[in-house]
Amino acid sequence: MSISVLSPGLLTTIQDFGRNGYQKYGVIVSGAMDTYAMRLSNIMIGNEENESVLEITLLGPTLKLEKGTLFSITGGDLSPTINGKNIPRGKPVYLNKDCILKFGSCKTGCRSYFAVAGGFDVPNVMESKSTYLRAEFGGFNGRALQKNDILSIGVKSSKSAKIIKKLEDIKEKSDFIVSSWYMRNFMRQNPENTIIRVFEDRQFHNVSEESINKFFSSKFNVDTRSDRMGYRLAGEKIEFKEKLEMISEEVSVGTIQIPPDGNPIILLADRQTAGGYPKIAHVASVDIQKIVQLKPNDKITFKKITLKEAERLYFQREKDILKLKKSINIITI
Amino acid sequence: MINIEDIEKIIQVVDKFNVSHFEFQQENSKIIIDNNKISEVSINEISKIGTKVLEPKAEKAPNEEVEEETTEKQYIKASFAGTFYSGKEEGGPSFVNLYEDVENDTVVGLLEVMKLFNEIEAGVQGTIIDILVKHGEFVEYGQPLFEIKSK
Amino acid sequence: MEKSKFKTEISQISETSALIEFGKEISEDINKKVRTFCAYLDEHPFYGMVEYVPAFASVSAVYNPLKMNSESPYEVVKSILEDMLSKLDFSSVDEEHIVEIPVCYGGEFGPDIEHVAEINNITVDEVIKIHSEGKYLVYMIGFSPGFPYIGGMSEKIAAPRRESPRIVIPAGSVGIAGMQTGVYPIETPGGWQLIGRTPTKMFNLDGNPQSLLKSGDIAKFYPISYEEYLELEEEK
Repeated sequence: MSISVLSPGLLTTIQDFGRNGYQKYGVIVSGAMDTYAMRLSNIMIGNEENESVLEITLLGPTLKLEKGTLFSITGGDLSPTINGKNIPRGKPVYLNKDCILKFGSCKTGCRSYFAVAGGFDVPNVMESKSTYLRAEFGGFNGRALQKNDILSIGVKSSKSAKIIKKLEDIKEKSDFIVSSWYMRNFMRQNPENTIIRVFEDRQFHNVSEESINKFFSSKFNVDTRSDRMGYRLAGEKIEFKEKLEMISEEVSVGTIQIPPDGNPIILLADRQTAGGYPKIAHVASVDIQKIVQLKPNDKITFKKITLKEAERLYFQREKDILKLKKSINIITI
Repeated sequence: MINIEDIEKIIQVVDKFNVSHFEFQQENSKIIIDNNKISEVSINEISKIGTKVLEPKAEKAPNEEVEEETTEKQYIKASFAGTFYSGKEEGGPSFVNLYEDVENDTVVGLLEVMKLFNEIEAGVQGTIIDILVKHGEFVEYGQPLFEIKSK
Repeated sequence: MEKSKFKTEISQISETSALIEFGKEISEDINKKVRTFCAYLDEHPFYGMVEYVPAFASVSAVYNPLKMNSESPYEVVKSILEDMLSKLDFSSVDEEHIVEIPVCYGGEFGPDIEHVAEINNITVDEVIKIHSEGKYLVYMIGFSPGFPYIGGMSEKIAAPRRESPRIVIPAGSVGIAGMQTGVYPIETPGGWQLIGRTPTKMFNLDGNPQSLLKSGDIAKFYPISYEEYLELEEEK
């Protein structure tokens, strides 16, 4: 089975969890920006949670899908339609005939995830199918999708086959069948203010008291020069008590760096493996999905929590995902 | 909040009476139903972020069946908020000029956001009769960029 | 021999990583500790470890908290790491692993070599001589695949970054930025002063190992002619 790209959208790439184990060679992790939406899109159609998906940015692609394709769409609402009819996000969709999947206006969020039963049949590069755009490897030929690309789909799992059987039992005659159940995967966001929970990072205590107050009380604007490497913020500039002599140190998803101009940068999937700018704080893992669904000019405020709380939230999230996996197992018995 | 039953009733009324354009606003919710469009241009239809819009069904409204040579005023609109570029370089040649004829897939400009560039296609066959934005200008979602006289 | 007063510190830096700090500066001694620890982790990865990432004076250990079977996964990881540190012998002598890198200096490959010579009041030939005589310790690989953070360049050829960075620096370019020298493994924008280019691939996806250099290697540059450059490039 395959998928044909009729138009590529703004930036559509194949991603999974990313490359783990190669940062010591300078190979970045990459992977889906919103791993929560990605995992859910896979779980609900019977894929392994780490299966490769399409990450779709702002303006979606137009894809020709074959009869028998089982897929799901999660993340932001980019107005997906099948043959002109709206399709819901957060539900498995099964096609009774060849169809055209099109996206329209970006109503909420910024990124949407398209998972297909069987995943994408592209080579594993360093144990991952994620696309490393700057180095031009991984994913589909190391690049974003282009018009006329043909994507091969992998073999469906038995779980996916069971989900298909369940959907076929609904005996819906139209172009596609959707399940009656769904998974909530996207928190409605307020572009005027999204609260991001952070904990202290290594150079927090070097920041001036005035700047700490500003950091937690003022609104920051998402700058248009934000991308997969990181989100740049504009607003109150952050200053330090004294000039710091920094040497390159480890960074991770969610690290908030302060470069010389004082404007915070939140590091994300395509961040470099080490950084030489001071780090003020770190976004809680569970709030990364909020950041990556913001668009330029959306506003955020930071809320301070402890690392222990962030860890508790992390565990809670994993418990929730486990519950979802179990519920799929029950549905597909 | 406008609920789904209300929306269904509104659609039925609009369909039944062949209303071509309908807008309804209540507090923070707004509905716009417009039956006067060619499907390719529908992606660029007016819809500000944060308001609700109903996507029209695939079936065409009665007006569209008529194959007249209508000379309608139409606009090529921004499909997302970003920076408009009329050509590849500042001071360089533009993709299209005033009164130039364009096809459906003629590239008329670039729209950029987050360092990502999207080629803006005309989406309709016609002639450019007005250029509404400057190179380097920031545009909002749905903002008209070119006025086009379609064939 | 270990002289620094800095006590090795372990701290939690995120929900999924711990940091082991051996110092706070760039020094060969500290870096040796980093490498010794990393070599040990290579041989004895702990259960739940996802990867380790070395930097100049520290290592971060990335782990899966769910595999620690505890409500405080970091505490489990911390005690594992402390145990490892207590077992390690940091005084062992490194076997010097020298990697020679051919460089065609100047000309179209080194558009900034005259500038580097000028601001240091020496000739282009002297720049080449000083650069290629150096023995450069590779502290870490980071920033992009195979990109070495090299120390030990002579201050006689130091040169500040360009005021306006180039949009495209070809892969294999050898450059100077401040007191640092390095090689760009892939085409990227950058502000380094370019003095030459190597036909050697710093990072090869199909190679084993993929990165030409690794932390702890000694890099040595040697000058080659334009013709030799073309020959070597053809071979690859």
